[in-house]
Amino acid sequence: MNKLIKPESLTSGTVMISTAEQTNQTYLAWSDYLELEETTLSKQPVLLEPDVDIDEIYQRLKPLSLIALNFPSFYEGRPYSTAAILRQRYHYQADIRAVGAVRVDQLNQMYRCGFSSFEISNDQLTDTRTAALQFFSSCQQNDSSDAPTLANNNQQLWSKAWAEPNSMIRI
Amino acid sequence: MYQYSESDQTLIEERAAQFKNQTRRFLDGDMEPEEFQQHRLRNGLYLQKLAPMLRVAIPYGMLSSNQLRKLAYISEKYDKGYGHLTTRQNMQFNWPKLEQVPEILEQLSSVQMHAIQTSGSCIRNVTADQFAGVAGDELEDPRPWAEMIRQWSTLHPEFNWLPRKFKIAVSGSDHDRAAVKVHDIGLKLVTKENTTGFQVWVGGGLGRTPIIASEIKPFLDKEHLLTYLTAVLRVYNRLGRRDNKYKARIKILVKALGAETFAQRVESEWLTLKDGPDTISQVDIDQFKRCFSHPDYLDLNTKPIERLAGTDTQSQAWLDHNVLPHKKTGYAIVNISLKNLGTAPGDITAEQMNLIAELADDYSFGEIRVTHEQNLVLADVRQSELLNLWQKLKKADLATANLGLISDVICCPGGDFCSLANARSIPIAEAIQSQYQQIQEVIDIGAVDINISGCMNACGHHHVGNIGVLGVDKKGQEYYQVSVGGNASEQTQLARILGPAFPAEEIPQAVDRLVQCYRQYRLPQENFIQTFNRVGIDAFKVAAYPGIAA
Repeated sequence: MNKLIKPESLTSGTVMISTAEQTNQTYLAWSDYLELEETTLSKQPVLLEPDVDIDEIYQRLKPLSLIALNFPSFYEGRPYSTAAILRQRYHYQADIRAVGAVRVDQLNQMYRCGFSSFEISNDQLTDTRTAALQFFSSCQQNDSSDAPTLANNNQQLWSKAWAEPNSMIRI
Repeated sequence: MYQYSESDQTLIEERAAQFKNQTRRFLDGDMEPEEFQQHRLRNGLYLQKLAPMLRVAIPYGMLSSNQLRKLAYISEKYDKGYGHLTTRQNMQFNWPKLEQVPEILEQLSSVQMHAIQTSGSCIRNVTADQFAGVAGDELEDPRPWAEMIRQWSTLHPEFNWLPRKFKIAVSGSDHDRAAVKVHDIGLKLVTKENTTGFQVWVGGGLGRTPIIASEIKPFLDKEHLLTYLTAVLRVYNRLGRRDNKYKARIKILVKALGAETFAQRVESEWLTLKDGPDTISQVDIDQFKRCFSHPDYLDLNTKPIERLAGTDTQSQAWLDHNVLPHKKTGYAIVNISLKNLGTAPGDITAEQMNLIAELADDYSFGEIRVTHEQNLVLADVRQSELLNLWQKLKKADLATANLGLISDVICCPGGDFCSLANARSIPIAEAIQSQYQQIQEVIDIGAVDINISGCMNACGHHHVGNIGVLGVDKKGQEYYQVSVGGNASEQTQLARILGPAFPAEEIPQAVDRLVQCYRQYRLPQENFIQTFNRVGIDAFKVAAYPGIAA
């Protein structure tokens, strides 16, 4: 059984596990999706594989309220770029969901690339594992976590400020 | 040196705490070995033949004396009292216990050090010229840029799961001491109409498929550095092969698409990012530079020193070969060779680390640099102190006068330690070094780079050695393939294989036949690689395999 962590449970960079709910959502593969009539599209969540060329298909995806990106393995890296492109280049504001081999230790990275919901297996959500979410209080680069979405109402991308010289620590 | 800000410090402490949690979960059976493997590699931890190996990052080779003391302490408390310096300016510990690694990381973080991204399919520790800031031929100090790249790439959310490892090097001088053309991205500071920017090289690398990088951007304005790097990484992350780890490096993608097409893809990606939030303002640049402490040089008015007091030939050889001119009058760059016969190249004991830390405090503003040739540098020594320093180094067996000479062998840990190796490399290095111990002969032979790798992953950079030695496995026997003509400088060349591999015991003689061949053909003032380039490989083939018709 999987649980779903939804956009409403994401506030200012913290992934709230406590609000996760059970899900048995099914998704349409992109090839099946293409065969459907235009009118039925927006009701069907679509699942994109890592090799998708997002630039080629974005116009078809634009009206969807949810785009799910599949992680066939936990070390798959392409969906991170796909999500970042959706947020940064196309200013897609609806839900981007991580599906597949989603691991607690990687939720922060996904979130920072613009993912806004996560389907994750129940056994990942033990206390010792979800402790992995609490480790980072800051980061060293700009990202898509503050990109405007329907859920956060942000107006613009956040820009990282470099360290102030007068805050440097001598050792 | 760059001084950490509070947020830099917090980040490495948090990563250490996270790794502690991950290790705990793995040991408790709460994390799959396959998943833990990826997290530990991204924290520099390998599980090797005899024990785990921890690779500690030394960003662009810069160390403070306190950091070196901490490395000495760690080597004594958690290891066997020594460390190994690598060809990417890092330090490896070969004997830590897995359970103690989180504690070692805590120790490291107390002196602004870490092991983040020293392994794994992510952006690795960034390297730069070991003479940054002190070299006379420098256009601009590359270290602030290297530090900016370090921060930007550290735990980058989009590029932590790349198809394969990714190495970036930065050079600020005409003479390339950072080997930018054999990196995934090589950045060279260049001038155009009185402003400096970056020449961008992509797709170089050694390993199984050695390739010299292609220039994809002749001039990139500095403000666009991070957006451009993002574009390159994004194209690679999306298009790099993931079906075969031997075809997964960016060099294979650049080759498959063609450098021009690859450059176009990067360009169109970059145009969507250009002038975005990652654009670097002049204020950012100035602020960044101010985060570096600078040596408090004295205004000295002394001529370059030509000999040390007395007539000692050993000190003279050291002065001639290990001491280099400094851009600041009255100062000199002192190289400490870690290529003493009887010690594995790049190995350094805790005692030596502590001594060098003390010498750095006394003679070189408390800073030490690590070179990709696996030696150390005290970069800011007053000329008037050279004799004192030499005497102290000599006493500790650290004054070997062979920098850049034939016994300054570059060598990976090889089959003695590494589980990837096909053959041992350290005994081969020692056998070669042992036949060049007469200082006059070594000086007569002159500049020769010998590089030894124990397998085709090429950590010993054998492809760019003037003489390269590669360990291969022939039906369970250790054999060594010899190549000639590699060059790691700005005239980057890949070495060419001479012929059939030699068994270990024949390697020293085979290498010496190449050296004697050079001596036979050389013109006055010509070094090994110049003779090779003029004469061609055939003469060396004949020399290497006597008795076999060419």
